[in-house]
Formats: sequence, structure tokens, C-alpha cells
Amino acid sequence: MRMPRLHDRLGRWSGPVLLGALMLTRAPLEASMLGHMLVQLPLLVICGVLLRPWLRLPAGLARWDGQGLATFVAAAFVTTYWMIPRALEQALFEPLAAGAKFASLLLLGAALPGALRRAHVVVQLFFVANICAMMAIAGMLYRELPQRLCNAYLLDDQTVTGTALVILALVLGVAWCVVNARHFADPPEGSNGPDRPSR
Amino acid sequence: MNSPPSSSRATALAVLAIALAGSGALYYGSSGFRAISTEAARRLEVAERPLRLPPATLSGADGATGPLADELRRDGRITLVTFIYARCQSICRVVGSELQQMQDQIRARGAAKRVRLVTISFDPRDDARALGRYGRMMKTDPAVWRLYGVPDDNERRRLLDAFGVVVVPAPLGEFEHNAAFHVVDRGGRLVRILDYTEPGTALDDALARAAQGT
Repeated sequence: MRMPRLHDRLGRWSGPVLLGALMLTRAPLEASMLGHMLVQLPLLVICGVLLRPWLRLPAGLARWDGQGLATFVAAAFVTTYWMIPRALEQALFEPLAAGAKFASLLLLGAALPGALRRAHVVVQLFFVANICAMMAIAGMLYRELPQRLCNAYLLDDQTVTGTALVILALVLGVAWCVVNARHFADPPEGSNGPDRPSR
Repeated sequence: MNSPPSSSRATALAVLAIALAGSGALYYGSSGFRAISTEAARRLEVAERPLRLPPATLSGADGATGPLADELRRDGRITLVTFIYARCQSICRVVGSELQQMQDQIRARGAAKRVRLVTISFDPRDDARALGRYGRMMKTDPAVWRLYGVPDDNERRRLLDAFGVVVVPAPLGEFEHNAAFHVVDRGGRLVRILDYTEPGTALDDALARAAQGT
């Protein structure tokens, strides 16, 4: 059940190192919509995952996050919010918005592994499917719109970002299926696995 | 695994709180679910709250310089302001030909005493000569349509900021910017922004304001 502890020592420092790298590369990553939305933002979530040894979310938090529901609802809102072109652009020019971007994505990353562990596969499926569908739809919009959504980014950049959003939605969906294939392929009969439907 | 027991009541409360906070954030981020792009939000904002423009010195195609406030306020006409750069090959050409047609319409409707056009270049390389060349190409009639540059870097940046115009360098030495028609009233305030695809609406808006005497 526990994650293998092979990256204990190295893993402890990977979070801060990645965070440092993300701070240093802010300007080049944020120079394009693609780099901003599809490199920096996902890396911030991953960075949040790696920063867990440092963030130390209180253990009591799980009480408020049955089946990971609170975290997944937050994930849906956070991903939606940072796909609003105006919000993304505000994070370029307004320090408060930039801070909110870093904080929300890092925290989301920190909360996700615990939520995934607690969540029944059906709950996961519901949210993953929703978030992926939303990303794909936003991506198609970005691809098709003839006008620029961000004044700071070029139209070509927006079109490429749209394509990348659709691809990311597909990759995330497929990756989730691969990781959870065991739930569908060989149901643990009679085991006390997490697969029995909760009530 | 010894994860602490989760309470369904606590979870429901947490979900509710997150949903409320999230909806609030989305409401804020989309200007009340009305705009997802900066440009749309900006247009709503200006329509609701007219905006004073910062001081700037304009230099005209004829080489003469003067303050923006004089040009916009003391003129007494409603002004449709557009931003271009003279060597533009793409969108400014579209805007340019729209402006040409507007100039014709203003003259045809005998509205040259109430409405006029001001085009400001955001390219520092556009001096009087470049503007003059552009003006001749566009067949501008100085009684209706004037071209300006803003020689001072800081003033130009502040002016673009105030108008909400963001200029992004694009490949092939071009620029991309949010082209629009900016309606400035007789008091020199920016009162409305209309998309460059709606020149008809922009002209109607300016004529209506001129008729109202606002």
C-alpha cells in the first residue's frame, strides 16, 4: 500500500530543487502560453507532490477528505481556474495572482497522493473523466477561436496550446486507465481490497 | 495502512467550502461569468467606468507636436482612436482599410464636425516621414483623420497601458496587438472599446454619442 521508500533521501530534496528551478525559469516558461500552461502549471503540481516531506499536511486533514472528495473538487476548480485565459494573464502581471497560482497548484499537488489513496476507483474515474473532458473542450476552444484570448500571447501560440491541452487530456485519461487497469482486468475476489463498493 | 477515519459530515463541509471558494474564484476570474479573455473583461470595465487618459506628447505626420489632452479634449469631437504600426502587413491593413471606409462615411454623412479618427502608432520607428507615407497610402484627410506617434518611450508605454493595448513581437519583424476601435468622448475619456471586426458599430456608437452631446 505504501509508496516504496526508495527515493527517501534524494526525494526529500527533489521538491525544493524543482521549486527553485521553476522560480528561476519563470520568465522563459511564462513567455509562451504553451510553456506557461502546459509546462509550468503541471510541473508545479508535481513539485507539490515532491514537496510533501516539507509541507507536512496535518494527518487530521484526511478526516475532511473522505474518498478524496474535497481534494478532487479542489482539483476541478483549480484546473478550471488556470485554464481561464484572463486568469493566466493576470498571473503574468499581478504578483497576487502569481502567488495564488503557485500556492494553489503546490497545495493541490501535496494533497493529491493522499486523496488518490483514499478514493474509490469509481470516485477517481468520475473526477479524472470530468477534468480530462474539461481540458479537452477548453483545448478545442483554444484551437478553433480566431481571436486571441490573451493579449500577451500570439494566436499561433494559443492554437498550439489548444492542441497540447487536448493531448494532455488524452494522455492523463490513458495514464489513469493504465495505472488502474488491475481494477478492471482482475478483480480481487474475496480480498479485502479497496474494490468493494462503498455502501 | 492507518489513515485516520474520515467523517462524511466533515467531508461534506469541506467539499461545500471548497465549492463556494472555487465558484467565487471563477466568478472573480471571469468578471462575473461574463468574460474569459482579458480583452473582453477590459471592454466591460471601460464601458462601465469611463477612463481618464494619461498625459502624453503626440507628434503628428506633419512633424508638429502637441499634448494628447489638447488633441482629444479641446477638439470638441468624438474621437475613434486606433493603434497601428506603419509597416504592418496583416491586421493593421484590415483596420486601415476599415478606417478608410469610415473616413468616407463620415464625410458622406456630413459628420466631420462631430466625429473624427485618430490613429496612433506604437512603433517607435514611426517618425513623421513613416507616418506621412502611411497617411498618403491611406489617403487620409487631415480634417477627419490624423496620424500620430508618441516619441517618448515612457509616455508611449503609459498610454498603451491606459488604452489596454498589449503589443507582442511576432515573427518576421511584425507585431501582434489587440486591435480595436477606442471611442473617446469630448471630455477626453475612453468610454468604449469595440472590436476591429465591428467598424460599423464603432462608427454608429460615435455618431450616437455625438448626437447625444455627451
